[in-house]
Amino acid sequence: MLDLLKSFLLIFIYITIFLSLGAFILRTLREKFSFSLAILSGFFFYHLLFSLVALPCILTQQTLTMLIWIWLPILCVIFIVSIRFCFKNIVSDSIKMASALLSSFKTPSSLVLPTVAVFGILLVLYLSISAPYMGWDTAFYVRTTLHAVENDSMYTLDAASGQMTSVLSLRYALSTFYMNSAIACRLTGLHPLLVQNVTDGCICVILAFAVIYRIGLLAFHENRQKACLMIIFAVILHVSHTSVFSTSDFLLLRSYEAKAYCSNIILPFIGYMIVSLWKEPDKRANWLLLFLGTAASIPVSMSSLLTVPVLVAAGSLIWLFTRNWRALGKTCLCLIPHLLYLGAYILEHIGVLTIYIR
Amino acid sequence: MSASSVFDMFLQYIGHNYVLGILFVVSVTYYICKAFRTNKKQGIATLLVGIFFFLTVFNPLLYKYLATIADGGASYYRFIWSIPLVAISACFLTEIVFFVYQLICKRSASKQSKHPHLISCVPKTVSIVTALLLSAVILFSGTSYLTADNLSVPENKFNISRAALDISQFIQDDPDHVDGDVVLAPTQIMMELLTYDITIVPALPRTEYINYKKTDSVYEPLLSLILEGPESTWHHFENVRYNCQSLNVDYIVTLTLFDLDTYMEFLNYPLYNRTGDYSVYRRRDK
Repeated sequence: MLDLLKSFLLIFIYITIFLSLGAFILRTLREKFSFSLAILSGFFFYHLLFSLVALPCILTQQTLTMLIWIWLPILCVIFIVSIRFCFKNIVSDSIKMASALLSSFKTPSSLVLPTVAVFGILLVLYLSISAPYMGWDTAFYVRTTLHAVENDSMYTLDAASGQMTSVLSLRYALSTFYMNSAIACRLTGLHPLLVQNVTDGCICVILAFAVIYRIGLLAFHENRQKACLMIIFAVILHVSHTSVFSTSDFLLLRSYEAKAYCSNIILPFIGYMIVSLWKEPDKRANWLLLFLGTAASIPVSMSSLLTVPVLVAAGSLIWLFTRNWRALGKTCLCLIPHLLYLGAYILEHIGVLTIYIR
Repeated sequence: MSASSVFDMFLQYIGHNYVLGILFVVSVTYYICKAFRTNKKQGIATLLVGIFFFLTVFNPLLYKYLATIADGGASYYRFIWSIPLVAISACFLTEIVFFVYQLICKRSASKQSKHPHLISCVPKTVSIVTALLLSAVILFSGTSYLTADNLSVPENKFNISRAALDISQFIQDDPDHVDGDVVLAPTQIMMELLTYDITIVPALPRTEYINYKKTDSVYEPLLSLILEGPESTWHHFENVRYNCQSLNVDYIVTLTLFDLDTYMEFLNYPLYNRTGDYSVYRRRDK
C-alpha cells in the first residue's frame, strides 16, 4: 500500500516539476498562463534538459548513480529558479483559478461537463493502471529499467536475450526516457513495474488529455465547455474500439511505454502546434513550443524518429506553397536537433558509428 | 502489424470498426470544407497535409516498398499516429451536439409559449440526448475495452500474476541460485518473470516464442514441452535433453496439468516446487 502511495506521490511531484518549468517557459515567452499548456511545455522542457545530461552519460557508459549525482542538482537549481521567477504569477493565477472555480459553483450547470470530463479521465487512468496487459515489448522496456536500477548500468543489456550486449544500441540508447524512470525507482526504492505502470502510465494519460484539451480550445476558440465535451467524446472513442497498435490501445493498455507517449502526446502536440502556426505564423511562442516538442521527441520516444519529421514536413508544405521562406527556415531550425539524432541512428545502422561496451 | 495494403493497415488500426472509419472520413471532410470556408490558407494547408500523406507514406503503390525498408512493415502503422483520429472525431461530435443545441435555441426563441421556463430546458435536454445517442452508437459499434478483465482490480501492486511472483520467490529462495540463472517458462510467465526479476535470464530469445511453429526451429520441441505439454514430449526427448544442456537451463516452468513430473525426472530436472497452476523443475546437478 505504501509503495502504491509513493507511486502516486511521484505523479504529483512530476506534475509539479512540469508545471513550474512550464510556467517558466510561458512567462519567458510572455504567454498567458494555462495549466494545460504549462504542463505540456514543462514536460517537453524537462525531457529535453534531461536528455542533454543523460545522453552524454549513456554514450560514455557512466553509471546510473553518476547520472543521478549530475542530474539532481541541475534539476533542483532549475526548479528553484523557475519557482522564484514565476512564483508571483503562479500564486496569482492559482487564486484567479480558485475564485473562478468558486464562482462557477453559483451556476452548477457550468460544472457538469468539466466534472464528467474529469470522471472520464479517471476511468482511463484506472484502465491504464489495472489492465492486465503483458507483452514482449513491455518485458523489454521494464527489464531495461530494472537492469539500470539493479546493476547501475545503462543500456548495456540486450533485454531481448537477457544477455549483456557488446555494443551500445543507439536504437534504444538515444531515448533517455527509461533512464528517467530508473532514477525515480532508485530514489524511491520502488520496483520499475510500479513506477512505470502507475507513475509513467498516469502521467501519459494526464498529458494525453491535456493535449486533447488544448486542441479543443484551439478548435472552439477558447470555449472551455466545448473543450470539456470534446474530452468526454475522446474518452468514449478511446474505450470503444479495441484494436492493435492504435493510440487507444497504447493509452489504455501500454501507457507506460514510450510509444504511448509518442502516439498520444508528442505527435498530437506537434500537430496542435502546426495548426497554431497556420493561424499565427509570426507568433514567437508557437515556434519555440514547436521546437521544444520536436527537440524533446526522440529523448522521450524513438518512435518519433521518422514520424515527427514526416508530420512536420506535411504541416510545412503551406509555407512552400505561400513562399513564406522565413517560416520554412524556422521549421528547418526546429528540426535540427531531431535530424542530429536521425543522423546518429543512420550512422549506427550502416556501421559507421559503433560504441563498444567496456 | 502486418498488412497487405494501406487500406488493410487502416482497417486493422481501427479494429475493423466501420462506424469509426466513416465518422473519421466525414469529420475530415467537414473540417476541410470548413477550413476553406473560414480561411482559404488553412484549407489549403489542411489539404496539402492530406495530399502529402497520400503521396508518400500512405501511397498504396509505394506502401509495400517503403514498408519493407522500414523494419519489414512491422512498425509502419506508427505513421497513422500522425493522424489525430480521436481528436478530430471528438471535435466533430462536439460540433454536432452544440449545433443541435443552437438550432433548438433559435427555434425555441422564435416560439411564443405559456411556459418559457420549460421551453428554455428543451435545447439542453435535446443536446444531452443527442450526446448520449452519439456516445451509444460509438460505444456499441465496436469491441469495447470496458471488459471485466480490464476493469477488475489487479492481483497485486505489480499487476502481474501471483504465480510469477511465487516462481521468482522459489528461485530466490534456492540456496544454489546465482545471478544469471537460466529459466525456461511459458510465454506469459516468462514475460512477467523478465519484468520482475533481474537475476534470471531467459533460455530462449523472444523471437523463438513469437515464431513458434512458424519457422523450423531446433528449439521447437523444447517450446512444445512448456507450451503444449505431453503431446510430443517423449518423441523428441533427446532433442529436448540436448537443448536443455546446450542452453544451460537451470529451471523449467510448466503447467501442472501437463503432469510432467516423471518426464522431468528422466530429463534430470526433478520437481522443485509448485504454485497455483504451475510446476517449477530445477536441474539436479545445479
